[in-house]
Amino acid sequence: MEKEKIRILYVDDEINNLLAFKAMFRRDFEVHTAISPAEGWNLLKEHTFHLILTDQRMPETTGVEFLESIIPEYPDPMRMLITGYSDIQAVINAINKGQVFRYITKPWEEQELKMAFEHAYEIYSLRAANKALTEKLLLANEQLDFMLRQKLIS
Amino acid sequence: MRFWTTILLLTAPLLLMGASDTLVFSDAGSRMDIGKYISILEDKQDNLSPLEVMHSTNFKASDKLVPNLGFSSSAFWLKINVKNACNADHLLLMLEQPIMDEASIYSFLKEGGIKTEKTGEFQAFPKRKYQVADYLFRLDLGPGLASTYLLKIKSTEQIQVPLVLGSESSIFQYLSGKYILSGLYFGIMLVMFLYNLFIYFSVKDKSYLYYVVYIILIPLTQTSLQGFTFQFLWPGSSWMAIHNGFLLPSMVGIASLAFQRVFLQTKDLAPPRLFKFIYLFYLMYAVSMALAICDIYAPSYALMEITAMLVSVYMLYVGYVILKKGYRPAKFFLIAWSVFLVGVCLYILKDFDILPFNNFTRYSMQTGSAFEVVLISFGLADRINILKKEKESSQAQALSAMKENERIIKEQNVILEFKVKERTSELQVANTELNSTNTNLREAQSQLVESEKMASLGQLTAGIAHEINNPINFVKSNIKSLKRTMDEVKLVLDKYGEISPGIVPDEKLKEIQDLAKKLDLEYSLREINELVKGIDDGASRTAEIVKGLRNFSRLGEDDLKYCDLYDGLDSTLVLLNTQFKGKIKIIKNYTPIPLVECYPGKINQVFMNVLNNAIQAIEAKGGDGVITITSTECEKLVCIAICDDGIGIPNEVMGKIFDPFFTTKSVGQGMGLGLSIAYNIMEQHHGKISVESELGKGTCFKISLPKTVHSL
Repeated sequence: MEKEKIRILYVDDEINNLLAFKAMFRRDFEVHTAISPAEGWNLLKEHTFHLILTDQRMPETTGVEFLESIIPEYPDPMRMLITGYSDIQAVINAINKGQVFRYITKPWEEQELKMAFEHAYEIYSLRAANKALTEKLLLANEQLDFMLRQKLIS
Repeated sequence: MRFWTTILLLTAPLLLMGASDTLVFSDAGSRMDIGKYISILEDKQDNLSPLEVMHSTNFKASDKLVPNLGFSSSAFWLKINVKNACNADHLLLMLEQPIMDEASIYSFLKEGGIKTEKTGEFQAFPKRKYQVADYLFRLDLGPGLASTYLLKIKSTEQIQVPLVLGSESSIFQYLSGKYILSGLYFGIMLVMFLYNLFIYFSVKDKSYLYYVVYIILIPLTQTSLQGFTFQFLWPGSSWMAIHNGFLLPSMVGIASLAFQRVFLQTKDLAPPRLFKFIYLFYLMYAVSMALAICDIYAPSYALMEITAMLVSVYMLYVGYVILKKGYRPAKFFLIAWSVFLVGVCLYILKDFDILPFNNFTRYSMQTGSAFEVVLISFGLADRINILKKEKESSQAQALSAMKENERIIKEQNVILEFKVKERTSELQVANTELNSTNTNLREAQSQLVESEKMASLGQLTAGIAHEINNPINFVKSNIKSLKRTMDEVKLVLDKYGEISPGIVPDEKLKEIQDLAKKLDLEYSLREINELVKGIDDGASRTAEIVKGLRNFSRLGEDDLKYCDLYDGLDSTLVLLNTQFKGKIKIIKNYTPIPLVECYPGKINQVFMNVLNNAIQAIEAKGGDGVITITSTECEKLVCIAICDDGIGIPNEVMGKIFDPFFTTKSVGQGMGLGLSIAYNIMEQHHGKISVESELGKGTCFKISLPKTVHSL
């Protein structure tokens, strides 16, 4: 089976950025784009994303606010903030509130982004594997427990 | 028969009298005082007839040269036996006392009968036989003849009876001598009167006026005693003739008191108590005069004489007191007054019979008064001297005071000039300091303005950077993607290029189609359009921003220029785009306006500051809002109104919003120079920036610019 493509959600209020992003990364990643945080929420319900990228400066809701808001429901995807220019307060908020994995400035560098994505996915995968293994371990443990109890009874 | 009886009756007393002293007048060239040759009968009721008197035995011989009968309302009869032993055909009997109310002579004629000649003050003067002040009686007594005469006298005043007998020539000789003396006296007094009157007119010294009154009253009084006033002044009025002897002396007393008061300044120089006596004396004189007017003669005369004596003493004492105080006129006054008083004393002593009646005592008062008047004139002249000296000394004092003043003023001037110089130099120093401070301040201000400009630019930069980075980002990204997609398209095209014309092998075509499918060529071609459109969009947006920046700053355009305000507004809005995009709606009520002469960069700065404030006001209210830009044009002005519906400006800060460094923002958020700079820029343009605001509803800035800077 072919290796699963990294699924990325990109939220930006600038349509050209969405198009450019998709054009650049569609070959290597599964790219979904949303023109607003609201649309982002809709897409989150339909797909399981490994990575979520968002622009900081958007009308109504900022990127950090959006990231902060999805954490309770979707804690697993790796979060990244991408912005044209922001003051230090926005960066601090991104780290503390949005718990971002990376803070990326526009204009973006393709290689840098790719590496960041892969790196993020690696962490994501490790976490997922860890989680799965733990679950397996727990299951095995339970089975062992059960077997032990059977043995004791018999 | 009757005749004989008369003879008998008449001769009988003559015979009787023959035993008594008979005056024998023997020298025609001489005259005799006959006081000692008369006998006197007092007729108390004034009701005796001459005959009764003639036969009365109550006659008393007089033993004095001038009999003094004192004050009496009685009539007195004087009997004189005269024998003419000289060769004169008639003799004259002179009663040298003019102040007789009545003086009548009864002559017993040889032929029998009585010849009566009545005269006195009761009778108008012109009716007199001899028009002289003294009473003259003609005794028709031939040489060697003897006869007896009765003289009846009556007076309200002191009755002294100086009787003189002589021939007509000797009597008139005597009278002319006496009149010359009186004339001399009166002349002296008149001259003094006129002299002092003229002096009064020229110097207007009040004391002269009193003096003039005084010296007209003195001779009047004196001459009234000699009967001249009756003779010359009021010959028809026997009332005046009788009363002037009472009224005039009192008036003299009052005048002398008044004169002394002025001359010696008693009110100021004498002790007040002493001074107040003057009123008492005035009163006494007034009472005396009133009594005289009421015909109560004796008390009036007595009171007058007592008052006169008291006044004399009083005036002497006052003069002495004032002299002791060193007032020089008092010396003259004392001497003059003393001389006069000596005269008066002599006269009064004569009246009281202490001194004999003679020429000396009779004229003592006149002489005294003449000397007094002259001496007081000296005193007055001296007083003038004193006044002059005082005036001179006061003038000298004034002069020296003036000189002193002048000196002080000069000194002050010098000091003042020095001070002015000092102050001027201080001011110059202060001015220089102020100038340099001003220069420093201006430098600081321009630096501040510059840094404010930089700060606002810096603030903008955040927005602009984001705004520019976005298109740059997707342009750059799209170019890369486009290149890659084009490579893929090129791959497919290369495959097509391998096909020779005419031969189209199916497998080859299939291969191409597979490749196209694999590369999703269809999507790629669609994508190419999007990418190109994105690049186009990004490039034009970047260009727009850059143009906006350039328009805004108008770098290198420091000159006045006609420019379109809308361009400026729009470019400013472009720069501010990121700050209000999606939140604030801009309504542009642009009407056609002409080009306006201005410094475009500076005007844009005004727009920027005002719009920035509008955006912040709306943000502070909650985010969404509307900014309305309205333009109007009037005769010489173009007005741009920028209105927002933000929080508005509180009234208490309304007056300060154009002040430099006034800000409502927290520290570090702005220097508070924005509107101040806008205000200065508008002043530079001779324009105006005004503000209207309602708290909670919004603010409206109105910018008025003249179409040409010099048109206003």
